[in-house]
Amino acid sequence: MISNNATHQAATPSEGVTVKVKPANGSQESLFVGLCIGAILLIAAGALLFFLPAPPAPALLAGDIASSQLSNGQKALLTELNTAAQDIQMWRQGEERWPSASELAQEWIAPFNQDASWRSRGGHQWQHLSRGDQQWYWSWPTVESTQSLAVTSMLLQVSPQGEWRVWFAKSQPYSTLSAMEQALIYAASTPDVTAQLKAAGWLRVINEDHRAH
Amino acid sequence: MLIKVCFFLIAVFYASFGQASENKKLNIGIALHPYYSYVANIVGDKANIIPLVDHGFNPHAYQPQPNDMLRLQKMDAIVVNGIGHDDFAMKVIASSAREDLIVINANQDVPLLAAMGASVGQGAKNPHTFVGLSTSIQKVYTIARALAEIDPDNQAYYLGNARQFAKQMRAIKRQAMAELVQLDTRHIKVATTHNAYNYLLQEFGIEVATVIEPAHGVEPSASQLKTTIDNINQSHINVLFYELDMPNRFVDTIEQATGVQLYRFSHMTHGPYEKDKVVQEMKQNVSTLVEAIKFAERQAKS
Repeated sequence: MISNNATHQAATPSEGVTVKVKPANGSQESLFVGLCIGAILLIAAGALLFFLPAPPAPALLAGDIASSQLSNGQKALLTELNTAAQDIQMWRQGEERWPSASELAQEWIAPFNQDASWRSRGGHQWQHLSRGDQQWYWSWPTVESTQSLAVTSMLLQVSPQGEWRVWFAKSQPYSTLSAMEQALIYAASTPDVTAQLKAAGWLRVINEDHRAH
Repeated sequence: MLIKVCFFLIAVFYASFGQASENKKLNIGIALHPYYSYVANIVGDKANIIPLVDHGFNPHAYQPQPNDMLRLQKMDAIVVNGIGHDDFAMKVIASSAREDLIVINANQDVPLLAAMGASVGQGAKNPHTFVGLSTSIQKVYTIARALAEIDPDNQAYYLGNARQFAKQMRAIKRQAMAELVQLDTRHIKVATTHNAYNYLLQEFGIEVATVIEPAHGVEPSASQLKTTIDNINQSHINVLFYELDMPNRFVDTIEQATGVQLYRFSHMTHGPYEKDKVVQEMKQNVSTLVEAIKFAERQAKS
């Protein structure tokens, strides 16, 4: 039963009620999906930029060789020389003098000690040279190597500031042991020792940084 | 009465002093077994060592847990492998937002060998530097120098202990070399299941001809296994090294198909965390290697 209080407002012909009805064609949903796709692409692009590989290491100088370019046998030799350099520095800190090559051999510090691997590498004879504040431990092969090391001589340059440098010679730069010693003495006395050694055929080994982060 | 009060005060003083000394000790974390041994040899009782994860986990498949984060919060520094064998630890460190945590990358001074395997990515490195004598010495030196910077009061102690560890490693090699003095390592042709032994083998002038696992921790498929068996037969490989304490289902198949002699190496990653684990198990590994070289020599002469 309709209440007597109910009122009805009838639209007159001069007044219109306009109701906009959006077409049910999915345009709103399409816009929403498009915006989501755009946002995902933007985030992905940003993440790609964030995870870009590190820039390549600076090019090596002439006469340098990166540790990553060494063969497995050469890397094993490099590890021994690196640890020997640290032993030499700790020795100096404790004894307040630099050790001789024979003292290092007596402590069985590779590659100075004479064992089966020493012989197969070339039976290197080691000498110690002190010039200025630099210490030079250098080697001369005495037998033919049975390993395919392609390293005839080695040079370990140690400074009192805690730094060291490893040098490899792939072919023998000198004809005799004494010639090598004289050349080394001369090189160590020049202002640019590095250039002198490189000119004589020595390769300076560059340890590459491979930190995880 | 006065004497009792004095004793009480003295006891309180020493208790406080002991507590203060205890508080000054560094808390050093480790992620993998061998690194516990390295750090323990260096620090002795001058620092506390906190393993990130309890022993018994598989580092190849471990997923970080909330408890790992709790342990990390107690650490002043953490020693990591950092080259692929403790990625789970790197995730925990990255998630911790601990800007003050000192991360000691034990392998930063080690010339790394390339990974071997049919499916390894270009540039992949062999992370098993802990299965090596010289590489272990280098890592202990790196860790000791880093700890000496953090704790300079104990610098001489840490570096001295590092040298003692090096002496033990060198003594192991010296003993082995004494047994090999008349032998020629060129007779031995080696295959390994796991790309883990090159650091040790290189020190004895031995190259690895074949690695059976196509990638780190991945078993070979049937076709890959057949290819490996063919390679072993064609290359006259006489020795196969595989991992102690790990199931290797395909090793028996290879042995039956090729007649290759099997030897096992420890990765020093099983059992409780112990100070002497690396020295003891490395000694055993080198003894195994010497035995393998002698076998290859006998086979060459027969």
